[in-house]
Amino acid sequence: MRVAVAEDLFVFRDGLGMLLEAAGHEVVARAGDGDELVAALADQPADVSILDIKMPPGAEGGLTTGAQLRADYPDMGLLFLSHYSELHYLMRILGIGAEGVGYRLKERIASVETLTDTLNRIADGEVVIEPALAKRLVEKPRAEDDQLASLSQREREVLRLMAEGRSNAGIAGQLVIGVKTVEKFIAGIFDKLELRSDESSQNRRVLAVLSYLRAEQGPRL
Amino acid sequence: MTRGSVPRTYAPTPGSGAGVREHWMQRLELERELHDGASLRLSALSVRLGVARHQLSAHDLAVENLIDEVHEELVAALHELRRLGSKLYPPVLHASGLAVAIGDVAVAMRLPVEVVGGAQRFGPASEGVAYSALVTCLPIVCRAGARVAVDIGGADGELSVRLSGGSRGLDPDLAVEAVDAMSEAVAAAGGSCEMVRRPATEEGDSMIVVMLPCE
Repeated sequence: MRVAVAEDLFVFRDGLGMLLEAAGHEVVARAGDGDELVAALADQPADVSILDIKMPPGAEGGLTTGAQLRADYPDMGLLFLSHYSELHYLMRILGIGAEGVGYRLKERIASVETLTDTLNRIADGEVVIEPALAKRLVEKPRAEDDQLASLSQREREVLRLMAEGRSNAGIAGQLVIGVKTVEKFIAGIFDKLELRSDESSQNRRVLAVLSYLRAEQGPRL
Repeated sequence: MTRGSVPRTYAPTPGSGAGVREHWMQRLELERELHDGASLRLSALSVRLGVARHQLSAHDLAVENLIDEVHEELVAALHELRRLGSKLYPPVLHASGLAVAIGDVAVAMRLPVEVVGGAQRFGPASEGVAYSALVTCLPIVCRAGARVAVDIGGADGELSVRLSGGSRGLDPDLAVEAVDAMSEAVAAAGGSCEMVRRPATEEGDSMIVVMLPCE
């Protein structure tokens, strides 16, 4: 896979480049900020770009650069890295794209296996979210009139795995159940969360998480 | 008459403000030092450890396990540094402001809170004091179980926070308890907080108003 990296801290950028090469990926760009990455990608296409959220330009240049790259190269995956797993970053990332995006903690992609799994899933169009953050999202109960409260325990487990960006087959593997059963649970979740059937399946997966966030975060979404 | 039906008002402590502002600026500085120093070094180290594990010349399960253990310890150390940093000064507060930070902490604390407020910034110290005060009082007013609205705004050099409870208002007893809990810290920063009733109501339509001077 062709991967571009943008990270302002040299020691991390250098290590990540080494890890990517060790995993057999081609590192097509090693940029120190968002502008440098944009310039590099004009000459060298990439399948996935990895962006540190907190790098120039500006305080959160990874997000602004990511939005620009998604507009310029809609098929390129985007993996955002941060030192923190924060809800508001996740919301902004999902605002940039509902397919082929990821948000992970820096130290959590520090093995060849995890890094490659994350990149593959993003390149396949999945949404990959730091598991601990995904867990936090779907376990939060709301006070009143809670659509999520109407979900069964099994449906909540499925929603948590959906929020991590796993495929139906991946969810089936995790829960040791059949794919058809997973599809049934997901249909139930969409129904209870009142997600319209004219949306694409991938959009409804993301909206299932967003519907929760919207209720919690109010008008800031 | 219940205790909660008596509105509470706390005024600024005379001569207050400067020391508190300096205190919060120091906390922010310490959090930045933790993040820019030890935390980033450990993150970078974790990636290099991943490279080392992959480059083991022969399949050596014992060494692989040892590296995995070291990596888990690194992850745990980073987690502890994050917790410490967040206690000093929440990074989300510094990066994105009071409205976003309160929204996030309400989710983390499992509180039914709706935040209303834009991207307006009020300075690190005022935002630090307001954040700390809200983290103290929100669990109290949320005990009633109903959704609490937090309206954050500012004008004329002051940060204002209004807590209300929808059509029924805040529980008056809980509102008084919440004001008492945060009053000292707010007053020390040169601010004020009070439990008030909306006009033309007798009972049950209570709200809390916090005012803080901005830098």
